[in-house]
Amino acid sequence: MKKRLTKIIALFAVLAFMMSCDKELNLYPLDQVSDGSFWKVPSDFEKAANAFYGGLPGASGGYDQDSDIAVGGSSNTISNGSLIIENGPGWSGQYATIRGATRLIERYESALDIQSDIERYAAEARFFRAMTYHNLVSTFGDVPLVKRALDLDSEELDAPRAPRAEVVDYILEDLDWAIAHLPLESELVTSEKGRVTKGAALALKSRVFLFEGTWSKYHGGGDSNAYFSLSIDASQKLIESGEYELYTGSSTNSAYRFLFLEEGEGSKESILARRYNRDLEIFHNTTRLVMTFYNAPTKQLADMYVCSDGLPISVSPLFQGYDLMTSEFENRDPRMAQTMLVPGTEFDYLGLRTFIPSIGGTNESTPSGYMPFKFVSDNSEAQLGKAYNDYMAFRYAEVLLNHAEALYERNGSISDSDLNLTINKLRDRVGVAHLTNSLVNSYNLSMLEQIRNERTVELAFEGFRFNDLRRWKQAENKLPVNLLGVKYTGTEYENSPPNDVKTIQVDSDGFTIADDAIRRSWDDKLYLFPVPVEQIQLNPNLLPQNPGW
Amino acid sequence: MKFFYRKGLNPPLTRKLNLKIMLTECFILTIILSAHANVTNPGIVNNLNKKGIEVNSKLQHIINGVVMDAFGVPLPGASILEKGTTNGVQADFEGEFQIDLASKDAILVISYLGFVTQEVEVNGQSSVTITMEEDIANLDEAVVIGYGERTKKSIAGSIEQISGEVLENRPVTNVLNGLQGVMPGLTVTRSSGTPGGEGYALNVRGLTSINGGNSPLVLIDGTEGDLNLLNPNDIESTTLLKDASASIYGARAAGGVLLITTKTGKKNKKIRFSYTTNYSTNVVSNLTERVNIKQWVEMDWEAKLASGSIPQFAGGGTLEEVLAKIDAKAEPDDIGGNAYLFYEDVDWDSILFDDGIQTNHNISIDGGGDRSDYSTSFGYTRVDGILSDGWDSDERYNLRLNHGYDITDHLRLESKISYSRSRTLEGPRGSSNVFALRNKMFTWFPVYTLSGDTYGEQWGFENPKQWASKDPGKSTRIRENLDGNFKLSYKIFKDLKLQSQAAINRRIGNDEHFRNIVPRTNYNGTPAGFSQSKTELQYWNQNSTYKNFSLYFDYHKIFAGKHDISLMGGTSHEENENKSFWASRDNFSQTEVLSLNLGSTENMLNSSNANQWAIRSYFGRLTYVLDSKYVAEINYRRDGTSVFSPEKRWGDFGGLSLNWIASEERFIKKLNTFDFLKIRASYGTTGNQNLNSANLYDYIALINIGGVYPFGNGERAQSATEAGLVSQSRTWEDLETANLGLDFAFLGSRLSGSLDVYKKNNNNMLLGVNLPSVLGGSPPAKNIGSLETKGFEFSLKWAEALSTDFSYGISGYLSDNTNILVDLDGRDLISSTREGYALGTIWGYVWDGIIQNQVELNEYKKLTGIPNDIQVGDARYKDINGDGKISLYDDQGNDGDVVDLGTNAPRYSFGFNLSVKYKDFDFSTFIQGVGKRSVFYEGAFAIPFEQPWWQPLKRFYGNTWQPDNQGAKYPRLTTGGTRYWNYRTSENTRVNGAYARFKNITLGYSLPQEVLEKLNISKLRIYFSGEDLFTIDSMTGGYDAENTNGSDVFYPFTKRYSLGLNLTF
Repeated sequence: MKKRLTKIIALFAVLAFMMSCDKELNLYPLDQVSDGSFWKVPSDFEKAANAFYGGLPGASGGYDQDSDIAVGGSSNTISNGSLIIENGPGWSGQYATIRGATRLIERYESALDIQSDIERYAAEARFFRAMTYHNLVSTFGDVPLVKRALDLDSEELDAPRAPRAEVVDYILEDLDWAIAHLPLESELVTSEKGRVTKGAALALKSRVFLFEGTWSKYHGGGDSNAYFSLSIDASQKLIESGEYELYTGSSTNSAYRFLFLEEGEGSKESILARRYNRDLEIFHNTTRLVMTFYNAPTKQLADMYVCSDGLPISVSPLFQGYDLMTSEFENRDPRMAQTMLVPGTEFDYLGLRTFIPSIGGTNESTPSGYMPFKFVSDNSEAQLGKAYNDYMAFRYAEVLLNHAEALYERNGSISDSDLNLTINKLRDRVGVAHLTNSLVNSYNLSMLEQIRNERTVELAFEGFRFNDLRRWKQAENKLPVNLLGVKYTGTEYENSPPNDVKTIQVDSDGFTIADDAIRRSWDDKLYLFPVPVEQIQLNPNLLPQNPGW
Repeated sequence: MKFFYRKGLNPPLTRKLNLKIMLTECFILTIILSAHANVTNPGIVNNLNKKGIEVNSKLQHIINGVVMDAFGVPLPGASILEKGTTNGVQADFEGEFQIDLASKDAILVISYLGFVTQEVEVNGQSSVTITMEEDIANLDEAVVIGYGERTKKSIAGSIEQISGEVLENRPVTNVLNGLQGVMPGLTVTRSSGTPGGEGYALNVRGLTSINGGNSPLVLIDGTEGDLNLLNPNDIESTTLLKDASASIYGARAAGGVLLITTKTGKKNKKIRFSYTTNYSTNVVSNLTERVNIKQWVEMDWEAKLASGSIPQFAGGGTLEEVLAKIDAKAEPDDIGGNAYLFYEDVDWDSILFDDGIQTNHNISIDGGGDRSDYSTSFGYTRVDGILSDGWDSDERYNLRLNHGYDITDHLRLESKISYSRSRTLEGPRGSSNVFALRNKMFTWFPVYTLSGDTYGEQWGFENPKQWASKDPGKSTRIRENLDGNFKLSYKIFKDLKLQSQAAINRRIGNDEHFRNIVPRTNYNGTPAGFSQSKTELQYWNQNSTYKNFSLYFDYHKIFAGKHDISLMGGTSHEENENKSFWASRDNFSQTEVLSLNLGSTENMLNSSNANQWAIRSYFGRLTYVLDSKYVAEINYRRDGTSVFSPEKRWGDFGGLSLNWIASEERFIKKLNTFDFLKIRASYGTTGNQNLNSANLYDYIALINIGGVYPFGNGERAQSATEAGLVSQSRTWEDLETANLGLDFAFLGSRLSGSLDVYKKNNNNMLLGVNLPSVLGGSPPAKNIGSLETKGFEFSLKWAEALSTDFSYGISGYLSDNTNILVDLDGRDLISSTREGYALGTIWGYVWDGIIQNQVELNEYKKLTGIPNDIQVGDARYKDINGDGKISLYDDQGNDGDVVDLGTNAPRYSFGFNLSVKYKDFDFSTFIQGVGKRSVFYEGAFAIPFEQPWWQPLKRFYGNTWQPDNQGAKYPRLTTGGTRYWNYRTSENTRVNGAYARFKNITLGYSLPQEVLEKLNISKLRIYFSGEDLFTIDSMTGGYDAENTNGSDVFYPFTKRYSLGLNLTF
């Protein structure tokens, strides 16, 4: 009995002992690495830099609906002026990118032993940080300038907004460092294709400072010419690098359209693209979205295409009027027919079809009567919703347009040789007569307007137009008006089913009204978006709010 | 008190029976315990000797009797005592007994757990039949508490216990379903009717924290368990610890503790077989009500014109012409682009849905020998959902073996081993996707194309019929639990026991998701691409191992006849490791055999996850009962967890309960009013460590690696991101609970009840700090919040047996609680989590009616912050701060024009139970409901034409503003931007969600005793039962009041009619 008791007590004692070791409470993650053990080898920095690429703008079927050159299925709250403060754009995501970039840069600075191997990743981080601050400044004006990765109790959390110029200086600093430390496109090995290059940083610099230059010129404040010079200098360097050229394809009638499709993918025109990939099942739905006509071009855009003689339709003898559905497409800049589908075109879209526009706001009908064509692929896979071609976030054509515009804005003029270096390159691609000073003078045209129109048609539906109108301070003139479509009264459209006569609205000249001016307005406060009210609530030092809000 | 005389009782019966017991025991022991080689029969023989008729020369009056309950069911083990002596016996397994009495006129005291103790005068009779009355208040019932048991009378805390019977007599396939509404203070919600995906959630006494920890810690036989896979038939009792009594579980008990005890055999009991089964038809109900084609066309016409766009059917003519075409069931109009206008209504519901079927079988065998007891069960349940075709079922097997064995007189081993396996089948996107497609899709789309394929394309719509079929693929989810639980208890001295328990639970999950190619077809039969363009197979495997070791001693002694002292103390260690892995391939060349290795090697993907946590604990409890009147109990627990940094790892928790059993006081007894009266007070603390895998290592700065970006030729470049900001100071949330309670019984215990009021304070709640976004990262949670929850529970029960043939019982409860977020560390935002308001507060604008005319419109347009295209017929909200602007905040950042519209939390939960027994029939009904609740619908349910291509739901038809319907509840129809304005959250979008639901109605019939005896079975009951048959509520449009989310994407609950059988022999 006693023996057994001893045994039993021993058994419980063993159990108790087994439970008494304390080490089991020091547990560590089984599927994550700690920050302390990271940042040791170059590939760690590479991985950290890779995280920024998801922030590049991606392909979309609906860019520019916030402007006057496109309308969608329903009226756009930015374009029609009805945006209210509570649903303004936020900035949380932007500061998250800035934090990620800043952390990488800080780790780079302390990783002395491998610094030379990781310079380019620090430069990529600076590129993305600059791009993000540009997004913030161009949207909100003055914004908080955060220069380090903050802690929970950092005083910067409660800091007021930094003046625009100070943020822009910071962007310049980042960009110059990035330009100095990034490789050229031609220096990338295949596996690096798609990474940020010196060219991308130059392109961004050209974009940022054209924006800031025109902003300060038309909205006041800052030294606009200094900004223009920075932009010109950057685009000049990029052009002179010889790294990039326009995609010319095989024909002036298709090169422009193919540039945005599988055919033009990876061309030398692309400076930095958001990448898609079939093997990885990373795709976009642009073709399908565009073809459901949710991104219909307007008459405002259509009228900006010059005739093949290089003259605007208002003065060109080649313009054929609106009588037939196809007449206005005749003798025009071929980009028009590559951006909008010409009525009557036979096109293989999931089967050969002849496209006649149905004017209206319902599915598969276009509110303006114009049918979009840019970004629409011939490939049936893309037509079914899976397109794998890259989307260019920066392309050479924009840099050429930036260059021409900045030169003109700074100097008040632009030489024919500079035009030949920039805009006329774009016209050569599509076979349109050159823009020259003599042409402008002899028809009493505005050179600035020609440059701006060239920019608008070349970059149509790539998301530039609304920002352009803002920096030119033209939104107040261009937005609160009827967004028009095809000429309806007295043209072929009037007698062409299946348009619904009872609901098609026309203006006094007989043009279809795609979005009625009655429902559109502009308030100058919209030039800058409101600081998100929640952020003001969390940090009252962000006050005052932007004007008018 | 009733006496029945039984003829022909045979005096030497007892001996015969004892022999039977012995034989049965030998048989069982040999079979079940053959592994225990040291078991010998002498023990049994000895026992028999002890139990045999005692020879006492003084005794001379032999009396035979039988003890049974009101239904004639024998009560084995009832104790029979000659009053005033120590002379007593126990009834055998047929309720029969024989006792030698000292006096012919002796008084017998018969007692049995759960029944009112009776005294019976013998009056010279030689045999008696004693019918025991159930003790409604059940004061001597054993109640399971943490690490021990107490009688209901002497438990110190606010504790609720129900027996397994509550679940047995209903067609309940899931324990959680069965627990809904049966315990005051416990709220069970379900979020879907999907078989196997019901999304049950448990809550005790309202919210404790915004971080979770709001559901109780569920312990099955002392270790953390999974209620979803537990066999309801295995439950002996369910206990809910609601107040300081939960403190004994310390760190994880913030949400209360639910203790489940599974059935065990009883020693010295004959083998008993039970079989229960039921078969249910699950009837489709509570489907969202949809408009018909005419109503759709009218609404679309109105809405599109109002926004300046073109009605969908405009191509078919004027509105009148279109309606006429519908009447004529006109042929479809081809409007180009492979699109058509169809003029016929389609009865989608009868095509998509069908009644479901539910079957349930359960076999159990239990009994016990002299040294051992056993209970083993096998359960099978299958539920087929309401999709008429397609994968939509859930199937579960349960096996359990509970076994107790006295190794020596001092050492007892209990092992409880269970295995359960469930298999859920669904389509590749889940069953509720079918409902989402159905709710949004036009009622006039045809199901099939001209060529007979499912119609799969027009403006991107997907055909719910196609997704409700077996073609798109199949998801198989298998969950297996293997739980082993071993308990060794050793009686060191008479009053001191040492207990050790080791439990290991394996949780295994295996999923296979197969996606097939899903083509779409135009109405004219031409192909229109694919919804899924390739075959894909994904495997997912998860396994976790949970270990729990505990060791404690238990001391209980009564000193000087009135100082009743219990002392318990011990330690435990818990750890859990969880690992998962998935892999996928695509492009299978065939679909007959689906195995990963048969897929293309081009897109092979795989990944894994793992995590672990551990808790160490020390605990103790001291209970002192004086004179059966005063009860004081103190408990204490110290927990250490791996989740916090070493400095912040340990937490101390404890509780104090005081009871006064007033009915034991002479002066109360004198009143002759109370059969029982107890007043309880308790105060205790528990912890919440927010154990979910997302924040197991919050004190360590981590990097997430993941994602792919296609550099080069598809380099699959991974990216690294910061996992979130960390905090070293994060620690336990401490929850204080104070409870005042009253238990009472009057009128011969026929009326009993209890009342509890409580307050819970979470004083250092972990909150994700609201910091300005310039921080750029997600701030960690800090212990900065403070939440206060208050509530009450009241329950009342009336039970009476009017005769042996007729008895009835009525019981009900009402409970409620509210909370307020006392402190949120300053940073103040209008949000659902805001200082000074309840968690989940809904903010809305102040509804000011609909703009009825141009004058009102012009006046209203003077305000800013309103849509610039606002029209007559649109909503008007009040500018309550008078700043000329409708906005969330004013220019200074103060609150603008929104007000607190309360929360959508259920208030005034109630349950009501009626049971009637008449002769061999029994009837019961059970109603559960919520007295007050606000519902705010979401998505397609909230706004007509939320997306212009979603169909508006029927509840809006005829209820929107029109010039000739100015009194309409809702503003005008439009697909323009003002529709969002019109349906901003306000008093006008609030829906009254109060309801009372007849959860169950059961009518049963048990075969009478005489028949049973002939058949040699002890119980046979058949019953008809209906679940969720009726609901009283004011919800419109087919919205289910029990639905806890406001969205229209919802697999509805069904009504169930079932037939069941309980058989025991």
